[in-house]
Amino acid sequence: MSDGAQLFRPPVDREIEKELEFHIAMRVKDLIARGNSPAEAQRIARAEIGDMASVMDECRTIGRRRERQMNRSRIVDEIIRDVAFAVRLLRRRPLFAALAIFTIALGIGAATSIFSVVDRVLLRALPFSDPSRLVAVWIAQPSLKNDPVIARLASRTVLGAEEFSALRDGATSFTSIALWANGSGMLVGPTSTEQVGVVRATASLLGVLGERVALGRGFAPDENVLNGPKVALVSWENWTSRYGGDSSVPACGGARRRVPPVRLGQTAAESRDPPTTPGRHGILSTARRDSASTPVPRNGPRIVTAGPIGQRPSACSVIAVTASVVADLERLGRIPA
Amino acid sequence: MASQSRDRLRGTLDILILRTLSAGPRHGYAIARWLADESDETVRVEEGSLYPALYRLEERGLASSEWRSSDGGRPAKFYTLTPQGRKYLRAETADWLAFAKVVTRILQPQP
Repeated sequence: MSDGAQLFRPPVDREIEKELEFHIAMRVKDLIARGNSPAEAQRIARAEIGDMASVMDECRTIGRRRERQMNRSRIVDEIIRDVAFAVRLLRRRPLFAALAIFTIALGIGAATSIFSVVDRVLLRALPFSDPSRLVAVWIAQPSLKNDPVIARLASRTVLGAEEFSALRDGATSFTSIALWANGSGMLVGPTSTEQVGVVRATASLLGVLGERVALGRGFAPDENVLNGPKVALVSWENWTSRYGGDSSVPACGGARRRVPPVRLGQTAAESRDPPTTPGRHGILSTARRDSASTPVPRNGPRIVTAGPIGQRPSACSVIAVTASVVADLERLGRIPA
Repeated sequence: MASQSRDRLRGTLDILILRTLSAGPRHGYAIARWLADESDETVRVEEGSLYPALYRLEERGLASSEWRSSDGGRPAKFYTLTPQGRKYLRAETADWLAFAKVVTRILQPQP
């Protein structure tokens, strides 16, 4: 079809209207030529068409359908032509082609990686029961701003045991608080040794996050003390992937493992690591009372405080969680209070 | 049975229109006029059937259309037979003639 004809073409919804107008005009001309008056000719021509609205409706429906099909084929044709043209060009200059493909691949990879991080850290809500009520708290020390070595701590110093205790006992704005530190530990099994994500935390952490123990029990109050029994929790993912969902896992405690065979809420195996040091870890050593005893409003925000990691944790004094939970806690730690 | 008759009528209208277009591009009114003239006013295609049939033929790729000036200078939509439509017309005409031959033989009184 020529460009002029294409410009001449009315929109698909008006096409049939124009076509019928032309038809009536031609018929009227014929009828007048056969001796009818113009008014009579008009009446006859319109009567012959009958229900004009229904004819137009049917034609419009077919016309729209055809236009959609044509648009689709046009797009496919254009893509095929463009691809063929690009392939011809690239074959003519293989070096340029390789460079272009490499650049595009690099761009796609970088964009995907950035989006994954942004999605995980900023866009998705934390996978806890009530994430909007979770806040992370740090200490601000403006006096450190000009210190050449520890200036980075000026706006974000993690809480220690004393600050945690003071906050828990004195704050009235929070439902509950917990202290945690991310880390990793070696899980020594009968046949293999693996590095696992480990979180050392106060016993109140699960309550703060709204998590519950699926099998076995959580921490008992007497375990939430300095030099208390070495206990650990294992995540559902670890339990199913490493232990095959074995329900006897919480009861078997004989194996010698550095991170004990992290029983669900059970006392872990003996540890060969040194005990935690008061003041430096500030996690298990100071969390003597359960956070539920803190007199706070029932619907106030819960607080999760970031604690100092200190020296390498005792393998038996940890809550073992999956990497995903570690990552989520890390995400929480990135959200400013 | 009624559906078969409608299909046959619709198919007949399609090949009549395509036959008209085989002589060259025509607008809707010219198609209706040509059929009436060629059949001594026996075949009178109603506009309510003619235009939807033309749109369907275009949708099936058997006819194409373009807007251009008619003899009177007024813009009109002219339909043209496509190569696919020409092939279809040949096949359908052969079928129709064979069918008509059989029916004629049955209906004709034997000498």
